[in-house]
Amino acid sequence: MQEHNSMNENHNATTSSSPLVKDGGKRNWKAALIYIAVLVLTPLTLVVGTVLGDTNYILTSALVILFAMIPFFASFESRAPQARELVVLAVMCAIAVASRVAFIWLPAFKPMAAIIMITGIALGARTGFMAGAISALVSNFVFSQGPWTPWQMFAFGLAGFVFGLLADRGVIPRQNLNMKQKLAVSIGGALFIVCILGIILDTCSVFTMVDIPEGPDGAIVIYASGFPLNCVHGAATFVTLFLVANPLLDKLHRISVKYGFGMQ
Amino acid sequence: MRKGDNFCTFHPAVTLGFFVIAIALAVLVRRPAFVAYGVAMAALYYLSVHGRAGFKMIAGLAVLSAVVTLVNPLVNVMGVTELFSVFGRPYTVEAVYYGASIAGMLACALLWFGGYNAVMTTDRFTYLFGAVVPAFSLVLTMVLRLVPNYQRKIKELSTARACVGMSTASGTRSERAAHGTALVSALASWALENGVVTADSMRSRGYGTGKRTSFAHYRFTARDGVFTVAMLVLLLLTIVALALGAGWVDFVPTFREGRTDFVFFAGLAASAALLALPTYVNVKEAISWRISTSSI
Repeated sequence: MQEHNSMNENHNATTSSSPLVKDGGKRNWKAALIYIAVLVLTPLTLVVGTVLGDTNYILTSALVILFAMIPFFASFESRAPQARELVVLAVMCAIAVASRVAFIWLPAFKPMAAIIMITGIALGARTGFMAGAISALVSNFVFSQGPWTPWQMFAFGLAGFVFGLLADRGVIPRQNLNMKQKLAVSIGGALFIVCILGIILDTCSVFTMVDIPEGPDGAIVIYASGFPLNCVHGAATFVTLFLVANPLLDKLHRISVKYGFGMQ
Repeated sequence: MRKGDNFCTFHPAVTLGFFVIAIALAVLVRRPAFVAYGVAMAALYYLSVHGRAGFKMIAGLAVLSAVVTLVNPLVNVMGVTELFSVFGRPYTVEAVYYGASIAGMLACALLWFGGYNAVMTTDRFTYLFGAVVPAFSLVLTMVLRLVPNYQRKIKELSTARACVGMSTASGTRSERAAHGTALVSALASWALENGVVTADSMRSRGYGTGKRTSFAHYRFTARDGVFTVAMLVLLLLTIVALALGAGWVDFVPTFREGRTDFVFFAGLAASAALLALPTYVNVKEAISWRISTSSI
């Protein structure tokens, strides 16, 4: 048990960072360099895309989204995460992808986003982002990769990141949600899907499908036709969060107590 | 290795480089001649990988392309050459051309992605990214292995629960939801416990003590070098031609194209040759295999 605790000797019990993740990332010049690279590359892509003319929306937008993910990946890698963090993250991603099987009797029911949000709440913002990005990437290995892959990775990553951030800030407790908190998290999850995740994925459709010279009209058609689907997705997220948030959070907490990951 | 595909025996970096270039060209260059050759080369490669089964995908894409081409003028009223009017809106030649161009681009990109999915298997993907993003690619490898594992486990769990009358296949909606929740929850307990054991095993075998090595071992051989040089030379020629305006096209208000001189044909030939490289690799291998078996 001493060995387990020594893994987390840097962990400060008074901060709100997750007990399962050593989240003491210090900003160094390398991180600064990465941020500068992103801040230069993104506008450069936009400028080059504009100069090349009206034909490059798919590529330009996909590149911008890819650049937006670089800081998240870089900060995850620069922490050199321990075996346990990586495995817990992998387990949660695999549960997120495989959870569709448990609910196979309800077609169009997509619990993946909800499980990613729970992972974010339990493991913190950065790991939450990775959970979302990896789950989206893996589910596309099963279905098909395409221009939508970076968008899905970013959108689901953001779901994990936002809920992780709320938990890091202490807005959402990491275990034992009471009825009121459970309802609030579930409603928040559903709203996030309808207002943010769905919109990001529809924006991907706008860039890949719409005839751009038609402009705003075509985009509005796509957003409007995506809205009912996003509502269904939001409802599924609400139900999943309401039903499995507590069991999953408790299990993650239990693991951290049983094996002594940083719990004092 | 897939039947009929020899390109997947090349170094992962070479194959990834080719697909990035091919998809970028498909999305960036919109002049009809380039799009037509691009689609043709992508389709040929797709067929060389998938054999006869590939025709199904190509037929589907042809239908999709036709729909996109013909529907585009309905929503898009730009252009001056009116063919006829639909509900008082003009149906123009330029919009048909533009629709065809978008359709060609989509078909081309999807065909290359089809080839990519066949060639860039997950082991090749993690081999390439293992050095740059080791933690990420390790998690990716683990998740890819765990997903089918968990799917089996869920089946086991639900079979066991069905024996005691707690099936997700029957009962009221709320009962079934409760059973579904219990399944996910049971899976999570088992998976997390197993995960910690795995992690401890990794630690005691020295995870994180040295540089990450890859399970699969790929060597950059002379053949990879030749392919890369050919690819880069043809890419350079294509870029020069495109920079000189060989790929320029405008759909509004009237359909206009760029130069039609030597530079245009050279650029077209270079890009077509570039995109034909993996098909050439596959066909050459098939032919030499035929010759070697017939001479026995």
